[in-house]
Amino acid sequence: MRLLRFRGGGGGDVATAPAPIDDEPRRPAPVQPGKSALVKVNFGPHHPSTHGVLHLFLTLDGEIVVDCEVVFGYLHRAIEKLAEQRTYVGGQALCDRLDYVSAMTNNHAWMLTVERLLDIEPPPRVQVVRVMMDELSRIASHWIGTGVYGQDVGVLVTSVMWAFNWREEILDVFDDFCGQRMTYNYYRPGTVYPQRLPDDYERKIRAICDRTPGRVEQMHRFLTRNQIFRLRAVGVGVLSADDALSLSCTGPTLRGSGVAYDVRRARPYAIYSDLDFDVITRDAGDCMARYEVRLDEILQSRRIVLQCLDLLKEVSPDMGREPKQVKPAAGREAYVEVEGPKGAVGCYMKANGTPNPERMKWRSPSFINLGALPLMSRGWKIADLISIFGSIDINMGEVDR
Amino acid sequence: MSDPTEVGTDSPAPARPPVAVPEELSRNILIAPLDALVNWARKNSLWPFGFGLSCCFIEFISMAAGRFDVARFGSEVIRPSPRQADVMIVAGTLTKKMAPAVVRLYHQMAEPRYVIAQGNCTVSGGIFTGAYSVVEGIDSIIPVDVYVPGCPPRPDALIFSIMQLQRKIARDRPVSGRRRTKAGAVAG
Amino acid sequence: MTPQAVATALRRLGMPAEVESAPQRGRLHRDADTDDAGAEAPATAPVGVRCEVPPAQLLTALRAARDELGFDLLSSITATDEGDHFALLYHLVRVADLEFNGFLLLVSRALKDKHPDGPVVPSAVPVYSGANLQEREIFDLMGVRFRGHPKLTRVLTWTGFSGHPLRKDYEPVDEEIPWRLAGLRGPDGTLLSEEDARRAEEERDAWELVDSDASVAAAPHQQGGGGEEER
Repeated sequence: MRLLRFRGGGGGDVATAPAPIDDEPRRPAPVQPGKSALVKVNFGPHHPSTHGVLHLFLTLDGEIVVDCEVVFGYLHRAIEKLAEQRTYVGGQALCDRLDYVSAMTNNHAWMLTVERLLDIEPPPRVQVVRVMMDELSRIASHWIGTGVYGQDVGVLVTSVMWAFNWREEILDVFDDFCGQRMTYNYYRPGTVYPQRLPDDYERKIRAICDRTPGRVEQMHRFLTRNQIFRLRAVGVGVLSADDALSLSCTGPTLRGSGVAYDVRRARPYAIYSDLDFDVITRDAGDCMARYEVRLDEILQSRRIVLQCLDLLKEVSPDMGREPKQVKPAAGREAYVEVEGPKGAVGCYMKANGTPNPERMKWRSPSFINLGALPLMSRGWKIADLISIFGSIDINMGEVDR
Repeated sequence: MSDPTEVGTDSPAPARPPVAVPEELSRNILIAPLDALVNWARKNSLWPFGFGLSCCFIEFISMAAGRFDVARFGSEVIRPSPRQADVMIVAGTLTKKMAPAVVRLYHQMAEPRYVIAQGNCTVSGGIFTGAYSVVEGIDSIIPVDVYVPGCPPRPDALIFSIMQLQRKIARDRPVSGRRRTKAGAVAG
Repeated sequence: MTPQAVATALRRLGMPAEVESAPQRGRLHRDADTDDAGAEAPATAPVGVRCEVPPAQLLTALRAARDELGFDLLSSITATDEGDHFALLYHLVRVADLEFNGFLLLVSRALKDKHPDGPVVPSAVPVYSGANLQEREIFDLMGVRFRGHPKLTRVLTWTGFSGHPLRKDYEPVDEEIPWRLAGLRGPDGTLLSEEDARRAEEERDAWELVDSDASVAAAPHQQGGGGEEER
């Protein structure tokens, strides 16, 4: 174990201190199940991590995790079954509650599927507004993911407070656009509702974009270059690219392992094929890699939002019109994936000629990414398990549906 | 005696004979009924047991964060352990699989304990009424003091619910022993 | 690889594949001259490949997709209740290929049988380990058993829940809250009622009911049982 040394003596400025030198990154302990009695411990379903109700059934050798069985279902709200009883437009309110920290991407997945069933396409201005809302939602979700990850590794609440305060400005924008802070139900087939954009949205969104790089830098100074954080995150919970692909991981969990797969580039929807942004990857596959991917994606989302603000001045003012009846023909089915902050969010719908879907299925990235947790956490201690779990950035509403 | 159903009523105590306090000490000595003092201490240091189930919990954390700042009500210490908490704010949909854990945690809280049902799902099942796995309202398994409708309720609404709970606690008689409030969660 | 090349390769392997086309979407029309009255229908372009695979050949198809055609990500498995059979949709993706911007969709249909837990279909876990949780969810909610799955237990509902809720013929039952999960006593005072104990026992052994030599369900158009058994 390495002693922590204060650099620069008392009162040295952390920002100008040289970057910390990483020693050999920590490795998982070799697991010897026959060595001592294994203890089975229930971890959850209620525990102070703010990810919600998750139950891990751990098999421990002392403090080292030998096996980790994830038990879900404590938040299973039967959304797929309820969607069959709601209409295509009314059921969108259900999908808001899935990944509730970034509900705009959920709305987008649902509404794109409905539009594929109806074979309609919204006008360009609506597409630009949707992309802008998606990316602001992504920034908000990544702030929560980062702030709460700081809490998971022991920061207590500083990063959470910062993240939630910075997120409030984005929620103000959403409040102006659609009247809600968190569960929006904003998109409609071919348009958004309300169609009139708020009066001073540009000023507010530009203010957010101006402050975002400084905030990302602040988070870097606070966590990324912090020796304690690096001890907790570098080399911990490594997921190789092959394992990640085989386990169907998507999102920062996959991109942190070096695979440059982003649905916005692979199957562009809305206006993403006309926008200029980078797909962020890191090669290490550890917790630090996933965390850095999220912070860099915040900057890329900011880039997209600025392009959207400029585009809104150029495109025609047509905001589209909702069809009078949303009753897709029987037998039509559609599966659409969008890139949510946690991974590829997919919505499958099948129509039967009535106003209600015959079947709605949600591909939730957190549910599938969580399948990688037992592999990633074998041999690490319980405290590291929390760090690994936080770095995957799970949302239990999405896992359990 | 003020009407207990009136919103905004804070005075709990019956009339009692005034105690003569010397003029020079009148700013240093406070005379109050023990009921009022205990209630004042309890209501201004309600430590929430953040029982975050789903979406409403994000608004609960927003309430504890910088803009809405529930710390000025004494409620900023969100205790993860039920033994250290006063008020259980159930935030999110309650499913049948989770219900036994909720009841068990409720019983682990030490009295006086209060329950705030935050969000439509805890009040009545909310948007998920009719689902095969959802308990429609937590009041079917634990007693509730304050209901906060909304989906999710704004942090302001949640702060208002804490204020309502404070008014409810202020009407209590912990020392003089008579139970005046109706919910079963308040100890005499 | 273009969608046509993928479809050709699949046909060579004996699987009927067709290329799906869709209108070109998502173009930002910056052309100010386009007006609504004269707008022409956007050109269609091939976006994906769809292939019907009987359950007996499912593993062959998945292995071919992964090893020969390079589809390295199984994005999603969906199950739908079609009345007399279940349809399983496997959406596969090539992550490194920006030319093929669509899915390879393998549709596998399995006739329902009399078993309450549904027909047996080979599990995709030996090929894509990410199918583990998705297949458990399909077993839980739709009732399709997967042969070869390491541990097929309920994942979203609780042990002791009876029935498969997403089926069209599911009768909604107001299930009792499973008090025993937290060690609490039921309404009649016992820690675990007989009914509960029986269900928990059944649940624990449910996945062992899918024997390794259980016969795979037939596709609807096949008569007289399934095709060659997959190992």
